[in-house]
Amino acid sequence: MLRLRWRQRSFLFKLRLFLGLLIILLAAFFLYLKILPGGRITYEKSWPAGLRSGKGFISGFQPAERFDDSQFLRIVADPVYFYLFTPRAFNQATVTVTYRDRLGPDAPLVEIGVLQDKLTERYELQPLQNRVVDDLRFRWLRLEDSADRLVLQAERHYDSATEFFRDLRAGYLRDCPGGPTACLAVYNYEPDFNYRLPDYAPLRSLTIDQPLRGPHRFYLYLKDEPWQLSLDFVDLNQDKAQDPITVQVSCGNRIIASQTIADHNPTPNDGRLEDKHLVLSGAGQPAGACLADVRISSDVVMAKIVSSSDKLAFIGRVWPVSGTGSLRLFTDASYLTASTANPASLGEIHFAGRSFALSQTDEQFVFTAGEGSKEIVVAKDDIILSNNGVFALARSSLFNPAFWKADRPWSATSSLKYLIADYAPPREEAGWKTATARLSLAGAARENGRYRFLLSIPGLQGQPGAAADLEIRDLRITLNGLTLGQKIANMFRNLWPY
Amino acid sequence: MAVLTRPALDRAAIIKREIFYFFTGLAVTLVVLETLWPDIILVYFNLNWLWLLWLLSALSLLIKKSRPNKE
Repeated sequence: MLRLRWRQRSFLFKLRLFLGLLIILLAAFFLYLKILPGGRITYEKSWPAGLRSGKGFISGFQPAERFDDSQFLRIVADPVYFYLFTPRAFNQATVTVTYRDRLGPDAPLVEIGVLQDKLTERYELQPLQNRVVDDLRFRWLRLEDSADRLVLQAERHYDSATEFFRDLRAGYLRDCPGGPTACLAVYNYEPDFNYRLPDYAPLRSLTIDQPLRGPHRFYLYLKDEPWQLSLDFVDLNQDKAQDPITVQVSCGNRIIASQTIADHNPTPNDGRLEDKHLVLSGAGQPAGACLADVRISSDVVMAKIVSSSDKLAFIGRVWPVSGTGSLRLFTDASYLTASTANPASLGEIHFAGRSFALSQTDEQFVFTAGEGSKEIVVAKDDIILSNNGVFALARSSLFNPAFWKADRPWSATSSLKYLIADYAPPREEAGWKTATARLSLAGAARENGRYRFLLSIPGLQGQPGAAADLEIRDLRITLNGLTLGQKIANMFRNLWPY
Repeated sequence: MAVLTRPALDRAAIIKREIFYFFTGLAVTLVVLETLWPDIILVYFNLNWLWLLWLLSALSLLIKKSRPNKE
């Protein structure tokens, strides 16, 4: 009967039905790709680029002067940014990069990261290649070489990793008179270790009235006494974005204090200076280093810090501004990176007793010195200073509870004797290396459906014709998130929590 | 519309016209999807290609219509 009816239908009816169903199927296909019910998808980009109709998921490589994509993606300067469009949010990204490199000893590291905080431009970086660790893997003795971690020792002090970690938890390592932080290097790994300052005197207050621009993070040593941190800010109101201020203090993995000042200014680019003030305090904490995270945009200046503890060291980066000049700082790292966008700030920098010239704007200059704490003197400020150690405005404030980061070679006279790394070296095949990194997208910044990624090769500062480079052939990003079933279950769980 | 669906109209002409309707329907559907969820279509497919096909289909329909009927 049905067959008879179908035969009676006109050709026009059948054609329209077919084409109509085709439209519905195509729309359903694109909706499927939007929802991705399985919660998993892989996006790829290869070079040389073939014929492509759509925009593609991986796009927006910048700045243009740092790469050339006429054949492979040839990166000549650090860093390079790109975007990944995703039709929905995901929890994790597994990035696989196939590349070959001609990187010198000054650029032993290749890392990839995803933007976590748009306000402070903070990226979560994961390793693709670390030549320092790759080199030590064959020169030092292996205590453990598992998927989770690599543990190396320069000389045979331990017979097993269990013994080593037992001693580390107890705050002691063999042949290490300066304590574990003096002789253990880490990479992409945070050991279970509670730092203690051996000669710590009870709390003495510290006032830092050197204005510092943009986000900063610093260590604060606390011990049993009640503590207080008072911060003065000036919102410059020079750009259009709102400038909220968030300060968070955490000890171990526990947040002990947090405060936020929202920006209610309806005209955030009117150039009018706005003073803001924040005070954080708490009861006595067990002895140890705590971390203060000042999350502000570069449109805000931290004008003054008053701390109840005089042990206060800035982590990795400081941007002193609007001071009186001739600023003295101290650092524990063996190198110093300096850059400025302000032509008036060009000039000499004294680092570890030597003079270095900061001769160009918008370019990073790297100055090297030996080990131990060093003095930095800058005649003019508005210079961004960075390294892999800490900075302090007084020598007595300088302390570093973090382990030495194995992201650059160290001298043979160094006291480093052990290494722990969570890192797998790239696989090599027919001259191409393939490295994989896992990035968490759970808290990552996603704007207009796009995640922002960073390819970091510290030390690669060439021009387009430079000999040192890194060429990428394939970039594959596998994303994992909740399935449609899990999303629906979560929705119901939120509607009826009990 | 009634003129176009006369039994005298040959099958090829019907297909040509229906393909034009198909491209119109598809383009509208994809534009609506793209408007609702930006980049959902454009990352895979450049809609300009579809508009080009739609234009060619419309032109072929108009050219056919403007020719005098031999019968």
